[in-house]
Amino acid sequence: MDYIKDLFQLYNDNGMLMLLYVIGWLLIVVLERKKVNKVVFAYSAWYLPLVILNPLVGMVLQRLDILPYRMVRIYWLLPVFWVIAYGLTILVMQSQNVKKWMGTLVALLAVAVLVFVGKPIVTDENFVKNRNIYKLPEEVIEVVDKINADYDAGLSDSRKVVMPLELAVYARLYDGSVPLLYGRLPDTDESGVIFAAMGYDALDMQVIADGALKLGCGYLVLDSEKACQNAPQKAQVTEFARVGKYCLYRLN
Amino acid sequence: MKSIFKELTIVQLILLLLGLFEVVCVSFTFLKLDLTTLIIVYGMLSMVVLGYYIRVHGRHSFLLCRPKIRMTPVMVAALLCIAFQLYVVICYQHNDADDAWYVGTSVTTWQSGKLFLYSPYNGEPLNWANAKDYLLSPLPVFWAVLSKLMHVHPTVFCHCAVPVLMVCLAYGVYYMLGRELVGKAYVWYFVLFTGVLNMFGYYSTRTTGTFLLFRSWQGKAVYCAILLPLFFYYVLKVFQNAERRWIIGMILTSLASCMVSFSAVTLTPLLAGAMCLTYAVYKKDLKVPLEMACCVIPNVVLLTVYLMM
Repeated sequence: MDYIKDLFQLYNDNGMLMLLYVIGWLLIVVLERKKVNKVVFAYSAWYLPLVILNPLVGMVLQRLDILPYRMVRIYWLLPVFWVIAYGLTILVMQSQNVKKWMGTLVALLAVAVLVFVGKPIVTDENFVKNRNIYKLPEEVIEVVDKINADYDAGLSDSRKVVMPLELAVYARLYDGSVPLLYGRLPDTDESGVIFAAMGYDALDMQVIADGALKLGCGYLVLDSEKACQNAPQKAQVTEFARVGKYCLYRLN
Repeated sequence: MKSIFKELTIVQLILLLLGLFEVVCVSFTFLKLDLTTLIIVYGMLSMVVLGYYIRVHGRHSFLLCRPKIRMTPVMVAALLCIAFQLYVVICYQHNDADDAWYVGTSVTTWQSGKLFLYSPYNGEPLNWANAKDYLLSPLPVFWAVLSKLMHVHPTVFCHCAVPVLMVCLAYGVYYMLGRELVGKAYVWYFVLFTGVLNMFGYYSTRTTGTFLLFRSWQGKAVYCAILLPLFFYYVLKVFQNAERRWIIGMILTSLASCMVSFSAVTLTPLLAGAMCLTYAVYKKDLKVPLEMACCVIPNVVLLTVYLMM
């Protein structure tokens, strides 16, 4: 049952979206006169409750180690948004048949309800103003440019870079020729060790630098706001640039 | 062939071109051919398909007809809603970690000229065992092809041009669907409500609106926000009138869905199966459901290839 609950919450959090879907579904079933439309948009979803609300299915999926975040895609087969929109439109149609102004009032109320119970997508958390044409964090572009310039000047034997995850995820979106030790995920056990070490709150620069050098890296980028257990001189790295809070080191 | 092409709508032509890319790109990936060869061959095939389509439809003046548009308050509201979403996707950015793979694949392909030979994460040789599903749904390579043709960096193309295209396409599909459901008089109410739901549908990061506005260049967004409603549209048309062209529409949508996202390989057959059963029970007919079931042939083929890899 927990699996089914996780699946439900992953898709629609507190359940408001499914409640709206059920309301839309009921509006279609009660008010729609065209049977074909009813069958396709209301009755055809008969199979989904057997899957997404069935604790037995949840038990089987859990035993098969299929993670809920993978299985949640099955909710896409429910035409949730279009059922809600369709149900509300039918309500407007029926209201307008009674009195024309009622249709407009119902439409305005419907929009108000959707706005009030919904959660806005366009917020400061979700969107930031473009700072460059790539629509990438500005630091990523500057870090990659500085590393490229340093490498092109012949100051390092290797262009391979170790960088914090928040930069590594986007670095190759700017320059696909930059070799990284790891991107979003490490590929090998050895790079996994460095990946893990870079994720700690306190960085052991010696371990990271030695490990990165051994794996053929020429550059290291660290977040200066994180505590560092060793000084750069001891770790035998040379700081050659700073970009915001990031220090760029050449591995000797 | 001529009779099939004569029945194809412009939407189905686009789906056919996407389906053609799926076949060509997956084949070329396994043959270890490069991006330039893919562009040349796919370009030539597309020109042939397009040319034949224009030749077959050439007599029709559908490109010249001017639809009569009557602006109503609800139409204006719906268009303003869409315009706001376009403004957001043009002037603002949402950074998503999944881009490391999707856009990373486009950039790596564009820069190296090779198909799935290098990992978009780190530039090392790619182990296909870890990327089977992405090899079989090469939408990022499609973006790389278009970027190469337009001499634009793929990240710029994906983040700037594609969202505008996808939002417009999505609402075009919603308009088509709405027009079938509620008629011309009320379609703009349908579009308006869908638009408001998209803008206030942040119930989770997995709803249609979230995918459309956050990451419309990724395959799963194209699938759930555009191709799935299109599939429902064709299913509705089949239920209304089981003509060959609507069944062809279902098949082409299924094939195009496989091209954009590997999730479609397993999800579309589930949906198609349910619709076939529903049709069989509702219309008490087996012939049309069997024809509808043909839309899962591409899925079966791709699933077989996946399992054999």
